[in-house]
Amino acid sequence: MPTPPRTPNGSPTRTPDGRRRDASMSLLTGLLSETLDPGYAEAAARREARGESSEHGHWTKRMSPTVLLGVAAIALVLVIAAIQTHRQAPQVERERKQLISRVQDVERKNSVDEDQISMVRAQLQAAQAAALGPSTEQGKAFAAMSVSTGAVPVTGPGLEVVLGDATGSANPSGGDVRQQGGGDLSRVQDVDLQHAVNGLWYSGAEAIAINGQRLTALSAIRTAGSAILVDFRPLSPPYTLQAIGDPKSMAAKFANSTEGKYLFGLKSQWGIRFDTGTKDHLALPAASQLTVNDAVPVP
Amino acid sequence: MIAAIGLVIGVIAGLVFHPTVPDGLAPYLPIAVVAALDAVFGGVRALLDGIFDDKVFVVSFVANVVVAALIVFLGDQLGVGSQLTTGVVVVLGIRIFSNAAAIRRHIFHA
Repeated sequence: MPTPPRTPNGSPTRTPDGRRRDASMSLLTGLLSETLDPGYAEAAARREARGESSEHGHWTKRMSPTVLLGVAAIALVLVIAAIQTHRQAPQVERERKQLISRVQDVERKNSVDEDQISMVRAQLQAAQAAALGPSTEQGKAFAAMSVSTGAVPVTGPGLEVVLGDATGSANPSGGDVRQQGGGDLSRVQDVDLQHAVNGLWYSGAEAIAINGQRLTALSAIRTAGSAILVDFRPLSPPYTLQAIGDPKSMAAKFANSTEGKYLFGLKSQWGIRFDTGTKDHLALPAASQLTVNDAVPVP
Repeated sequence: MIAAIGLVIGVIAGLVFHPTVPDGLAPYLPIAVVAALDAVFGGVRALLDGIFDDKVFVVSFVANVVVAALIVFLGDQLGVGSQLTTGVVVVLGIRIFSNAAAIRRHIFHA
């Protein structure tokens, strides 16, 4: 067997029968040393055996249509890969947009359905009230119940409380951001909203809505991620709490309640926006969710 | 010269025909790309070593693509397709690097 013109990494020691001594580690050795296809060396050896020259300068003779074919194939593969990659990028983007628009469609459909539900509920309410008669005792009780359960939209004078995240930088007073449980305390937390709502109920509110979400006996105010959910609906700051009740007594009572003081404390300590104002006319929508599955009235 | 013509033909063919890779073959495209690059660097190095051979060049490219694709196909059937793809890419990547280094030594003598 003729020796190849060059061994890739020097000349490894060989056993008398021509095998490499490190043949047992051939996988790694081969991987690292035989980086050039051994076929080239063998072909060169064959040529040499036939008496042809394998020196520089003559390689142009070995350029043939086969090379043309091979280079063309390689170029084709690379171009296809490049085109494919560039074509797929907008496709991924398109799919993302389609998903977003589908979500938005469903949300829109949801809100249309909700509008319909509230319309039907209003008709039902009117029919029930008409059936009971407005002046009867049951009729009055029914009307009062409808208001307090949040089944009907209500209007009246009341108090408006606005809570908002601290303006400007996240550090309202020079790096004074308290990190507690990962939450940025210069932002309004679900606890703050809960305090505000509790304070308003305590101050004599008869109906409360947060950003147009009417609160009922079934409402929950909680955090999911960085958003505050009211009745499982994400709200974005600023949070406007509208409470119907006697404006003057409510304002005084709310300001003096522990919850009111808590909110004032938030304002002075973290720069959280906290404004209260009395309104002559507030309009609160009906609650979107009034379904009760398991509870039944005692007969 | 012939290589340059081949390059031009391949690029033009790719740009003109815009061949789309069927979804079934899409997983093998990265392997084909790496095998193609390996063939290019191997060919250039053999050229500089003075042992270039057209038949070896073409056959090794085609065979590498086919074998690599077969390995990955087998891996796909056995549930280790992505790992084997990584393996093939690593092996061919090492070869590309070593050949690139050999080419560099030839050109810069350093």
